Amino acid sequence: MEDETITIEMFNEFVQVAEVELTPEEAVSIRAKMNEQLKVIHELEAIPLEADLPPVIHGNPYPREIQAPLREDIWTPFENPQSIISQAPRSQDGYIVSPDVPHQRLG
Amino acid sequence: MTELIELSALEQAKLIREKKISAVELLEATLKQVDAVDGRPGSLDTPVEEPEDLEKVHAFILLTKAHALEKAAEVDRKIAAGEALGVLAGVPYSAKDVYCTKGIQTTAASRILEGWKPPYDSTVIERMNQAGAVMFGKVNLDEFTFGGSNETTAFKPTVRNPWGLDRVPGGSSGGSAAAVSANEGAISLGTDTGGSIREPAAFTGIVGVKPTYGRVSRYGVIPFASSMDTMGPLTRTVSDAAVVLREIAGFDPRDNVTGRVPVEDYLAELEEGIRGLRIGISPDYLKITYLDDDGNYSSAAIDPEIEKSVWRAAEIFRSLGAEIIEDVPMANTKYSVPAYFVITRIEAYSNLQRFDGLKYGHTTKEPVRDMYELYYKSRGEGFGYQAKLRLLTGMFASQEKFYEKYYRRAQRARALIRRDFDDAFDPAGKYRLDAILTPSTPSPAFKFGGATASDSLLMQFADQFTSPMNFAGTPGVSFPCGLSSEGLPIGLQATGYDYCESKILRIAYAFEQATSEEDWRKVKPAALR
Repeated sequence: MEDETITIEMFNEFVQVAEVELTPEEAVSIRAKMNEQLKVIHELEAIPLEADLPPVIHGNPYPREIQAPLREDIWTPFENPQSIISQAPRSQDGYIVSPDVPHQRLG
Repeated sequence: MTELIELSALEQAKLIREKKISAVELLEATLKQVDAVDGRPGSLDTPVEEPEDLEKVHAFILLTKAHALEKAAEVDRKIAAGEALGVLAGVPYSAKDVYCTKGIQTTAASRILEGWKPPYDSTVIERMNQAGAVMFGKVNLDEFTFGGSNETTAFKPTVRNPWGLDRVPGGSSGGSAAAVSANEGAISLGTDTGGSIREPAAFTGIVGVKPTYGRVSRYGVIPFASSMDTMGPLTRTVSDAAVVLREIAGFDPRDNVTGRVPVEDYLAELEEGIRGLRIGISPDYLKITYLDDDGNYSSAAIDPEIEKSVWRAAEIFRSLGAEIIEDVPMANTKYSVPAYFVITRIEAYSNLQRFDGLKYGHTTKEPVRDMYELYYKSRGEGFGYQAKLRLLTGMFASQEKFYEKYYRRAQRARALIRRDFDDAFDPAGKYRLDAILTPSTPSPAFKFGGATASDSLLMQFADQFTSPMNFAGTPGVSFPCGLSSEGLPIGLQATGYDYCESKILRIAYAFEQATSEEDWRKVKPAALR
């Protein structure tokens, strides 16, 4: 079984990319729990899989004869867009108001 | 005398149709029962549970009394006018709070959806409306369905098991199960991604159906793991489960995994009996299998009372004309735990990314520099511990460098687990089964905190007998089969092949009819005594 301990540095990077703030207590507890759970993840390695066994995206087959026909690509407006916009914590003139979106250098 | 609230949904609907009671009268009786047994509803503002909270069920997050009274009055008006009625006209029901309900708060039991009112109904809610049923409340669950005990909800007090208020109701559809068990409505809608309908149904002594994946539309239901999410009913009788499933099942152009497969009349077919059905029993479903600290597979016995219940039920089925096939191998079942773990975390991580504090639900009140800080703080405040854990674990496991090793391998393991079912149900194979009989859970309902106790394998692996069906996509029904020596309900599961809900419901119904006069059926949950 490969050792793949999640270090504090790795964990902090996950937290940033996942965009979820943690309290210091949560950070300690969740990282510890994730390291414990790696044991369960590594159990996958103990499963004997034949080389030609294909992955499946869901268990039961979905043959073409029961699939939905492809729908025509026709735009259908929602009956009441305002009911969507009104759920936003901040909106103005039918638009959702967000704070500034900073430019980021990709790379 | 049996009270209105104790009747099945079909009996209630009949009384309404025959004008012996009104829909409003039934709704009021149901709300009165909620008032008597439920206590204060789950709330984000209840950090501490008071001693009096420990004596109530707390199934509900929200009661939609005004909305329900309007719907019930409409049913009564239609009856008076002689208009056509749906089969469930006037029957009150509740929905797990992951079903989107137009204009009615929908929370997934998470602070991140605080105050959100969806602009549309889920397909299942639409179909219940078409059947004339009256939704009167939204019930509690594990946050985003992440759990099997209801303890992870952000809305406290936590749901309690009506059969033992110090016990969990199971989960994640624990509010649904507790409500139906405590006569707070004859029907509740739940969801099942790894056992979330069947486990709480077993823990609370009721019936719960997980349909074939794609049999019931997922449209408008807040997702957990989209490749395994299924929607189904929790009821007190098999007939009620059959009629609700018939009403909500079927192709939906808004969910492209729903199959264009005709929906059978599950209710009418219950009467066909089980003579000639081949029902299998697998030794792999009569033990818990796990990897020990040395990396070897070990086994633990299930609760002996539960194993005894399986064999007793098998004898009943044999006496009713079914053929019992023993020693059916389902050897890949033991791999379901790690594969399930990886796939559900990755899919949950993906599904949780839509909650951003910007478009709907909770947003931080703290000043923020930019949009990313808004995300960061809103999600930090809005997600509970378990959601954060699953989000980060899913993110870890879905890294590109681990794709082959984790996600793809788990999806290949899914094919392996499915193969067990293909072999067992193959009409030209060695076993040619119509159904497999298993325990629903390895133990009865455990006490609060039990699932995290490190010495309790039976609780940690509470979903080992239910999650394989979510992997395989096959249906399962949990039905009550008796009480343990501690007076707690025991559930059995009949699981069948794709789109064979009718057969497994017939099996559950046959058991229900054969045991209808047994003493344990007369015992009421502790919360109702």
